[in-house]
Amino acid sequence: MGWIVKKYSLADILMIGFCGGILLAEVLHLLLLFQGWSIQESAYVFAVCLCLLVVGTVLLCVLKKKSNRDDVVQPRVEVTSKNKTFKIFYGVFATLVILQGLLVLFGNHIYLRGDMTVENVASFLHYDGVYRVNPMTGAPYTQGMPLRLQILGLPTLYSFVCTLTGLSPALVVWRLVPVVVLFFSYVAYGALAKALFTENKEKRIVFLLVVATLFWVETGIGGMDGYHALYGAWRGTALRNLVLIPWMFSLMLCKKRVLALGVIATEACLCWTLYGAGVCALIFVLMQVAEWILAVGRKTPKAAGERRSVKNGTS
Amino acid sequence: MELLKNAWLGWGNYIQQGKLVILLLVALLFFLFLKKEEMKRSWIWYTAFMTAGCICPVTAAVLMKYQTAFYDYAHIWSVVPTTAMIACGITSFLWYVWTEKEEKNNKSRAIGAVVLLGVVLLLCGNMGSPVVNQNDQTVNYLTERERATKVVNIIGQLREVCGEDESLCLWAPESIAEYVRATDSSITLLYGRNMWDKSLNAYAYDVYTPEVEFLYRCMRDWENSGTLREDKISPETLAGMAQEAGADCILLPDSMERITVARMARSMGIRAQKLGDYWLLYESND
Repeated sequence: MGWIVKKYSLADILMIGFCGGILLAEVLHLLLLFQGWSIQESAYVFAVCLCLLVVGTVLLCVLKKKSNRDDVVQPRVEVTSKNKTFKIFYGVFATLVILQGLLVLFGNHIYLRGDMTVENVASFLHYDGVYRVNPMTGAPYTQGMPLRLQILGLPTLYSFVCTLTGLSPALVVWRLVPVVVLFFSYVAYGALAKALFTENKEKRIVFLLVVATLFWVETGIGGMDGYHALYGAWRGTALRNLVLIPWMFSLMLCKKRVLALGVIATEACLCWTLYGAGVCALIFVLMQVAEWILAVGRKTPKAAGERRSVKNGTS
Repeated sequence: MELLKNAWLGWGNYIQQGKLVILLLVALLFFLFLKKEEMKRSWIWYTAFMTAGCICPVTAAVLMKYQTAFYDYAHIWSVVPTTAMIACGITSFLWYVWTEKEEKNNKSRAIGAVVLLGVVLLLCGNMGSPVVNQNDQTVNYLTERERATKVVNIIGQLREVCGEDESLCLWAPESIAEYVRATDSSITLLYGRNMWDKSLNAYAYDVYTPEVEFLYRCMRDWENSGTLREDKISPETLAGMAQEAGADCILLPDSMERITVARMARSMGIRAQKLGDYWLLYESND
């Protein structure tokens, strides 16, 4: 466990917990689909495994915090006008995020086009199994549905949450899940901010503040992150765009490729992909290609010469 | 060719609702030419390459093929970190204004830069509900939760009349059918949301019979105007068609003519009951 704490950041540990929950639900979903397990029984298996996952994640977070405190001797920070300014930025960021959470919980609009998650979850719960009936009508399927859609485990995850909490599918899917997704979206963007502005904490908070502002101004542009975050964050594509993709970029920038493979697997559980190869796989390959090309460019004689002359103070 | 055409038209539709992609291009130019050492090169080059790939129709068609036909053009922009890159550009620009030059009036420059960027974001973004042009009509794809709440109340009243444990097959207007399955999954429908939201048909191979499609069109006419465009078919025949399709519970909109409701009820051997803004035709088993 020590190497996990040393190698990965707090945000990475939280995201590992997030992806772990999705992958766990996916495994149980496949058992429900192919072995005919019941939702009720599977929900309790899910609860036990999720508790272990949550305990593990919290433990790693605590160890990470302790490790950070032990490694760095924090200098006494004088309160300057710049610190005060950044305290204001923290406050504004928190306000924007809280307002987004309130809009998601109590707002009037949701984006339902092309989505039948709640109907699926309600049908799963009613028939205690997956894809027993067409969720649109409640009648048995006559022609069936594509297997590549049946294997996606997100509706089953939401069904487990409904079973364990006793809450209605509409409440869980349209209100509670988006709040959780919004939280993890900011965790993922925080990880990306750390990867982009490694040495400068103030730049990271400005970055997050601008992201929160962009979420608000994107609400009227269909398909953009803000629109997904505030009107449709329960969807597989929204989880991918808001949480997995920013984290994927941070992992590739920090060269944490093993975790990146886990993200690719998580996306395959959420969205229809080309036999498992989705957006995250494309990002993985192309970012790696970009790194290799830049590495080759740095090694060329011309580039080496330029670096030498800069080092010697001549140009 | 169809894919190439969608890729060509997709860009035009994509920038209709907001101009944040222009800010993305500005951020890329900022990092590529002005602040070359500011940001990780692989991140900049990847974003620039993929942005070009999403705009150029040929490469956009390739990306659409890769993401599979299940998704439309706008989804290919998931590969471009638009929000993150714009945020990076704004962060770096603000940092340059705030810290690069120590001058008098730096505070006012800093505040001015923040205000200017805020205005630019508001002008390039769109904080309203997104609307698109579809068949010369503006369509707002957001659904109001108020309508869902109304349906919950109607279904609650329906259950009081019909009994909690009765399995019902409902023929209802679009405004009710939209939320019934989400509210009470024990109620089956003659048709669901995939009757009018065609994108949902990608989820299953099932299709509706011509009779069910006809019943949907009739109910839509009643809901919109209170009368049928197809005058030659009698209310008794329609009630019979609904029952043959499997419906044992019918909700009719209040906008319909009373005589039509009465004739349908009489043909079913029952009396119509008022249920909120609807007429209920239900033959109980008691």
